[in-house]
Amino acid sequence: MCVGKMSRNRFFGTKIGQIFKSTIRYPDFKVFIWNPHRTTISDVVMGRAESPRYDITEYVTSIGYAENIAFENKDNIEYPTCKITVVRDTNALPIQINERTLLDGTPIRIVQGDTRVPVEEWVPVFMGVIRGNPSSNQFSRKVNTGPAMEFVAVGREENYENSVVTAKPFEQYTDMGTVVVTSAIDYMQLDRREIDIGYQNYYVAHKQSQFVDIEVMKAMAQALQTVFKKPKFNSDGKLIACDSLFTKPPARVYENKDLVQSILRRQVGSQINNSVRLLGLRDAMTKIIERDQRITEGSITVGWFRRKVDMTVYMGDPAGESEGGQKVQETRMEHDFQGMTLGGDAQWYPEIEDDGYSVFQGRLRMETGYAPEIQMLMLIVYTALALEAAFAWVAKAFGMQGCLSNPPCDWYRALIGLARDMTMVAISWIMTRMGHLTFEIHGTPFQFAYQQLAATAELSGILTKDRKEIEIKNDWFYDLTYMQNAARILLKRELAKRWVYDIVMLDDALLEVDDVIVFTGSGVEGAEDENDMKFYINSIQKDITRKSPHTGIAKISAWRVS
Amino acid sequence: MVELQYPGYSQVRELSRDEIERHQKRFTGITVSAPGTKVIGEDENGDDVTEYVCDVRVGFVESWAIIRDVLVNTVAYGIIADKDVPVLMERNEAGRVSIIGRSRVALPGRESSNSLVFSTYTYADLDFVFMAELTLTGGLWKDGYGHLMASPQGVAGVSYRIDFICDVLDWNETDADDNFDYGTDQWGQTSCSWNHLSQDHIGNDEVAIESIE
Repeated sequence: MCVGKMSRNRFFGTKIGQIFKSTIRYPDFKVFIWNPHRTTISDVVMGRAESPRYDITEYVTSIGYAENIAFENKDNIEYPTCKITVVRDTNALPIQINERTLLDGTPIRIVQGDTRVPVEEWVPVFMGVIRGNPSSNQFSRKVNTGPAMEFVAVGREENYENSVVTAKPFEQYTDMGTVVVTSAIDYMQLDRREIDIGYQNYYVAHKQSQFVDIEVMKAMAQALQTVFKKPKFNSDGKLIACDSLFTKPPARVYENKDLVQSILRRQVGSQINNSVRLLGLRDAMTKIIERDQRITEGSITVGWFRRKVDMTVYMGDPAGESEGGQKVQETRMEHDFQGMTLGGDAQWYPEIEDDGYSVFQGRLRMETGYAPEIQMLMLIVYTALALEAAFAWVAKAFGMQGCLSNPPCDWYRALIGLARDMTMVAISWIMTRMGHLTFEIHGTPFQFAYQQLAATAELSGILTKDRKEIEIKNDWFYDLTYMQNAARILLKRELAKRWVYDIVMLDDALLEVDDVIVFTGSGVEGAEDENDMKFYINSIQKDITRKSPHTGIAKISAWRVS
Repeated sequence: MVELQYPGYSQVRELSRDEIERHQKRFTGITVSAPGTKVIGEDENGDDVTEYVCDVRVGFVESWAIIRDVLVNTVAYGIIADKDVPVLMERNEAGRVSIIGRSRVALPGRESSNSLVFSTYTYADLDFVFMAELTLTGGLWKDGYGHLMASPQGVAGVSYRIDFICDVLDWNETDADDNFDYGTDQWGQTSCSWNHLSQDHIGNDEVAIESIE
């Protein structure tokens, strides 16, 4: 029944439903195909196929049906497969049965029923397409090979195995059902009528959420995991959200084991996960503050004629959206004028954003401390000394009378030259050193991020060396309390995998994978089945055939869950 | 909005793991006394209800501390108050006893910023009674061999198990590594330990211990 949107629950209480729960059976089946050149599987599912429906049952020898559980641990997309053996007959009616009719992509439907009930009331158990060309024995030395052909049909999931969602964003508070339905429409090209999924009452909580570069079925499985469901095509060919809880209503309650041939508990020869670590993402943005640290550094050298510097200093990453990107708060500057300031000064003016504390950049203003008068004075002194030295040199060169040409005046001339040179040295030194500033901007970087949440559920008393933990990451989870319960549910699922039962019983066509069934207890004290035994079906295999002894027998693999 | 102080730049996703590792490095050893029984109450018939108890010594890089009468299967919080590191002793349903350090690994910041929740469940908690290895008969928990066992209990809380464990498979003295030998000496020299333990517990096999992973 696979509670959710089922194709088979409509048969409960019907005559065919009762027959499949009884031991008196006249099982039969039908196989229909459609011309793939005239229609698609979508049209067939929606009942608008232009191609006639062709009944090829008469030529079908047997059908090997297999269905396994999907999306367990490894995100494995499983789909039902049918290995169908037919008789090749080019004169068959209404169409020939050969490689020209059983084409790749041919829509095919299988229904199971009972000869006492009209075909229209039978149970659809498979809807899919043929894959590849039929295999056919072309030549053999064996006798009685017959004109048999074999082909494989697969469920609709197969068609979307490699379909990828490139990018699909979702607004905050979008229902998870909407997430899945819109993704299926956009990236699986399904018609809304092919999707039987409604609101899930679980909402996208993060401000920004999206599927990015992920297979669409896996993406939907992740989204639906939040409500403990899985995406799946039912046997009508419609996409559904299948309930995967052990606590869902049982599809069948068998009050005795009349239908059962055997129930075997199978030993699982490997260690099963006994701890589940579920990772989610908090929906509220978390402000992450780092330690106070140096953000950036630099140096400034200015010359004689430039006393002031006003420059912009950037830090961290460029400004982005209001969330994300590195920002800094509580900034300050440490600086050094390399020993001499002479009244020089540097100031830091952070440019604070609208939020009152974010800083991406700031202005650094520096003054060398040179007063303009001092600059001019030094220039005048140097010029005067240079002129004086020049006059002394000219006077001596032309033998002019006066103290300038006398020996004492040689000393005077030398002193003037020395003073001039020292003034030049001083000017040069000041130009290079006093205009040199090194600075460091300090502050506390911070950023906003979604904080990771972790809920671990573990079996009591497990030692570290015995612990086998599975980590499940799903960013659609955002509430730690909800996750705690989810982790518990997932732990139950892992533990149940250690209790695998193989049930061989008369085929109940109403059962499918992910169904829960119950066998009422035997009441025999001390017996393992003294009380009710509840199972969760994880695979079904059956031969739908007219050949005995396999007629109407199904092999079910199930986890015991109660 | 939650504020986190100093978690390390761009390490949000690894915070949990890092924090656990940080705590883990502080542990140097753990020692356990022989188990004894302690009356913890009365049942409906007025009979004493007893549980196994042990004394546990937890060693840290900085110091160590002793916790008295730690119920097997029960978290004893606040053993080392300033470090807020509780110790859990558990006897699982197969009868093995483990000692688990649990830390309230709230991420740095306010208490409300907890992002981790750790829970343990017994089979009964999970409605998997048929998987249970112990059965309750006449008010007593017994294993399949008929041995008396402590009642299985699950634990839930805003905490995370630090990944070290002291595994006491039997109650004989166990060899351990050098670190532990050092710890044992310290244990014996403390005034509050050896004799007191011997008086308080049946069996009197002193310390069954193992090293820290």
